[in-house]
Amino acid sequence: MTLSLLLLIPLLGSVIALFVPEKAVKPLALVITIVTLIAAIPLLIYFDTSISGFQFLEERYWIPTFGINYIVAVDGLSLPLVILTVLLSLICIIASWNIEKHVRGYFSLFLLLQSAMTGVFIALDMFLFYVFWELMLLPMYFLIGIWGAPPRVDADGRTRGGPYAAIKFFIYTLIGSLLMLVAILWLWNQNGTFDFRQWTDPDRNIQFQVILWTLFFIAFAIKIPMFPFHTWLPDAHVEAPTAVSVVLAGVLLKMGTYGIIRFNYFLFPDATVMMAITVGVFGVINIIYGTLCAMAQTDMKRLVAYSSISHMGYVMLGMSAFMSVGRGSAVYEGLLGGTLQMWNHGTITAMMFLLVGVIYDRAHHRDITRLGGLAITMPIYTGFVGLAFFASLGLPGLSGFIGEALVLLGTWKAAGIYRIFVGIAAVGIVITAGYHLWLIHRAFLGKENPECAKLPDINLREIITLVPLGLIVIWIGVYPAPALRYISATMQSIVDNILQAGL
Amino acid sequence: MKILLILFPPLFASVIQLLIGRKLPRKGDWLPILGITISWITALSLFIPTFFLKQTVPHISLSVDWAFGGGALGGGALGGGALGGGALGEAFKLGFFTDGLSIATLFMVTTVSLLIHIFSSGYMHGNPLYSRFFAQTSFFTFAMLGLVISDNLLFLFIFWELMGLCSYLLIGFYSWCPDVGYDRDAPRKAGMKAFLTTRVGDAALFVAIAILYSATGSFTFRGIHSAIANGAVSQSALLAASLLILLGAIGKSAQFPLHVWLPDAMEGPSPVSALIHAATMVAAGIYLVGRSISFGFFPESALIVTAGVGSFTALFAASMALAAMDFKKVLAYSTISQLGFMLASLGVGGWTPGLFHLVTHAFFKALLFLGSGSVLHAVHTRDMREMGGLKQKMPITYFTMLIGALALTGFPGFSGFFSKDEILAVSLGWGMKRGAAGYIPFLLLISATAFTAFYTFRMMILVFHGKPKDHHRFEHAHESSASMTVPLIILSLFAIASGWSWLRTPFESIVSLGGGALGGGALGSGALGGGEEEIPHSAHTVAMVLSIIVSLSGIGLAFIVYHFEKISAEIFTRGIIGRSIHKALVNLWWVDDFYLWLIKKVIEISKALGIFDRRVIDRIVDSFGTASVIVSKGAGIADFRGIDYVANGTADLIRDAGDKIRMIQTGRLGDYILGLMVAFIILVVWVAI
Repeated sequence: MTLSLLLLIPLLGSVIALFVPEKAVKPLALVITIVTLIAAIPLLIYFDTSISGFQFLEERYWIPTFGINYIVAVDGLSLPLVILTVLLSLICIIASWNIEKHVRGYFSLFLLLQSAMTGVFIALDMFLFYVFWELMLLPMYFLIGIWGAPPRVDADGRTRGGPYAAIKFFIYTLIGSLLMLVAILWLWNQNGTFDFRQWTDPDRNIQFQVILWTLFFIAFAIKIPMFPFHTWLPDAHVEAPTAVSVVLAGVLLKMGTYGIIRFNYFLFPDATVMMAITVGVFGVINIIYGTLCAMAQTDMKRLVAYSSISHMGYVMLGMSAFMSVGRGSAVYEGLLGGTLQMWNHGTITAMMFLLVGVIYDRAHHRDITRLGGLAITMPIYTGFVGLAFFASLGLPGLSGFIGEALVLLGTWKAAGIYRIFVGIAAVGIVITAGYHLWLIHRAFLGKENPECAKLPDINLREIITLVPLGLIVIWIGVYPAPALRYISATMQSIVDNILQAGL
Repeated sequence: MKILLILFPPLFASVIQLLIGRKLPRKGDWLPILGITISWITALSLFIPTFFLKQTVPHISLSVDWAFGGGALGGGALGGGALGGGALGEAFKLGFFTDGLSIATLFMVTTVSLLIHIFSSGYMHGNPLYSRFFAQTSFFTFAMLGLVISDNLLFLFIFWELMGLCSYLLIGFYSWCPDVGYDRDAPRKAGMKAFLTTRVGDAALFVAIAILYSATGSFTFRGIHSAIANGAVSQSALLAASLLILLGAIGKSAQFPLHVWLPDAMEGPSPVSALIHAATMVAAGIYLVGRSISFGFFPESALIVTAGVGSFTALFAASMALAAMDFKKVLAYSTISQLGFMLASLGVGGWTPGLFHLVTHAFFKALLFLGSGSVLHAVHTRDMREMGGLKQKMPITYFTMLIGALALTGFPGFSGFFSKDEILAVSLGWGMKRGAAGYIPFLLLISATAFTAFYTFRMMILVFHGKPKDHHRFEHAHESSASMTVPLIILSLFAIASGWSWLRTPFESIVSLGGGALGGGALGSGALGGGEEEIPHSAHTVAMVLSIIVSLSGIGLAFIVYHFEKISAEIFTRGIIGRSIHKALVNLWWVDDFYLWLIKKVIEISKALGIFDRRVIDRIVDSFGTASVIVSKGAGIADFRGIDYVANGTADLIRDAGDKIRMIQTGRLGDYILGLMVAFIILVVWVAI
């Protein structure tokens, strides 16, 4: 029942939020998310880390005529992401405390979003999965469109703003999910059930596998977002309100890589082996392209958005390096690192977007060139920025390092062309450090800009949103064993499964 | 237990200091001093038996699960994962160990760090970020100690990077300070430059670690060593790994071509320059190469490259010190040059003298930097053209610095003599064995020795001798307080004694200790080449005589030009050759300019890519949207509603969404969400039944 509770509590909260007085909405949302977090604790305690398969399985009939069932469960891949969703939702509710416009609608949609995101990670029935996948789009669309920045015309003469970004996000994802729907229906037609665990077929011919693999892959690649399908991301981030950016980067992007590992890797091992290097190539492109684009930005939020693209590249690179080229022996480090990186990116980027929100609330702009000397006017804020940025650039001792390190170790182990990827990624490491430090250099050090000399330092509410994430970042960086313990059994079985079944 | 006592007191002191330091008496500066004293005493308890009894100290090691496996939280509900027990669990262990080399280095690091912390309590007095300074230096000490006792490359790398962070923060220290009369711009630039330049080396080092890990399945020195001995690592992989390790060291130890950050790092407070940018952190690169060689990671060809880089840097950096007018920059170039000596020594098979020089250099260079700090504190400028005659005003600083200067030039009887002389002897011996081109390292090093003697005494004379050039500054100058002069005096004792200790207990008998515990002993048995090399006896004599002659003539020339002013310094810049050399030196051989150009290019590319992303890739996407809207409109006019829906779903969604937004704006958002909810709840209830 634990997993269903994680779906039902926020959903219930979402309905109640529409009927309570406007003043009570925020406390209600807070209580709901806290209760959900408490409800998730048993998952952590009773999860058996030695089992690689699904746990907390719940199966109920839904529409048996069409082979549609309500099946939810978690394993080492989805558990961290479920926890991340629940945790970030709570933090986002606190971060949204200053929302004044259509309060009921905002919090109601947010809770609905939380329910849908959780659903995506725990659904094993593909129909259910698709329902959640689409359901998630709607609140996201409205949250960006209505509470985002007002429409305006940018320097290139194109209309920007919340509605534009929302529609862009919506259409992008929808195109992807339509492709996925085709694949899902195809497989359903073959097997007569939506339970994806029964869709494996060792004799499926390779061309067919590759076609289905690609249909799924494009849907997920858009979510990651993978170059060249990434342009929705900077816009969505820049226009969205802070809390929405946080879940967008923290949770939604992970659905792409999650989906690939969950479905592509499991269902089509032969195609996965065939396409592994392609995934790696796109991973490397993401790393370099994201890094260089981030370097060019003067809008702090856009910079963080592009850094997300770059960091998700590490996840892709890591998960593509599951076997050594030529020898065909298993490599676990890459996938372990990639999965850990998903969680780490979720926490680190969440911190970064929260921090960008802090400065935007005060200065009403995010233009790096119009800031300066913030280390002196806002010292505590600068401390948190330092923590988040150094974690993001992969400083050892903070969580960003261990994920990237495992990814690079695994990638080198995969040999062959992967070694060139490591070389390119190593260049990326240097440039990554470059744009992070350059931002600190311009916005935080040096002469105080008189424009922002009187900005008040970070307040208690904002500190409360940052501290839990900061502690996680330090903890996993100093001692990653507890986090890795949850995922290692599952990752091992995923790799072994591909190598057994594949080619 | 002892390892914990060495490692953790500075860490705890740093954390407490950071959190509540400002509220403690004396702003908590005693906390790090106390913490480092505990580390120092523990290090001493390891060092004394090693030094006086030449005993193989009980080999200390500690190993805990870090990334995989049971670990501290093991057992119970969180029991070990599937991979925990296996190979990954074994590889990712946090491990420490000590041997002769690490014990000697521990002793050096804790001693220097302790004295510098005491010095800082006087030097940094009154700084608004006083307690944060101590938190950072104390954390740095923790990281350095961790690096020295790490038994594997992964943790060495972690501590290596943590030191980089401390270095970044401390170089830019003044740019974080509110209302201090300092220029905040230069420190912030210098900090960023240092971090990014060393990051190049760091990335290379990480790839080296990946190569060795992938070939051997281990991060530990011992594990990799035995795998290499068993032939598990191919020659090409080993060569690549060793050259990348060398590149890592080139970054951290500021060797050519990644030396550019160290002179700029002088923007940091002087105690920081002494601790991090002279005595300890920059030595970490040498330490890493030394460790790697002792475990047989460096094949012959990599050693030759090492020797080449080291000896070239030694001369190259010394040349820039000749023309520098910034007091601290002279010392910075001299540090680069001396680190070059050490690297060259490791390369030509002088493993022991190289690491011995690391220890002696740490003491006398820390002394020189603290001395320069004492002078800066008194005159508030770094330009030597505004000093002069300070000998009378600051006698303690003068005499202690004189000892440091004599040690640096390798004057007989001072510590630098013992170590540098050995280095020269070994490199000459190496040349004698190889003939012709083999003499290049020796020739570069001996010329660097002459340069060293000249620029050191040029600096001493300009600062302390002659007549004061700036009377206002001279009048206000005074000797520093006891908290600053006492560390200077103690360090000057070390600057002499650490050399003579060679006669009491030769350094090789220290660093070879614990060799037995290293599983076969990479050095002890000499089974793996690249450790020590036998050198002809005549090399010692020739090198000693030559080094004394060039040092004395360097010192003599400095006195003739700058003290007695018999020859004008102008003479060096006369003529076309003199002028162009001087121009090259003042412009630092244009290496910085080259990097600036490179960075500019990277930024240009990134700007172009940013525009490409917005104007091209994004436009393509947008035009698809626009096109579908036009198509759908056309279709709408033709009233092919049904086909429109199927063929141009996208466009319809745009319109639909627009309608929905309009709907919300007319206050019907609630209705919409409610509808969505109700539908969903019906589904859920259906499921529940």
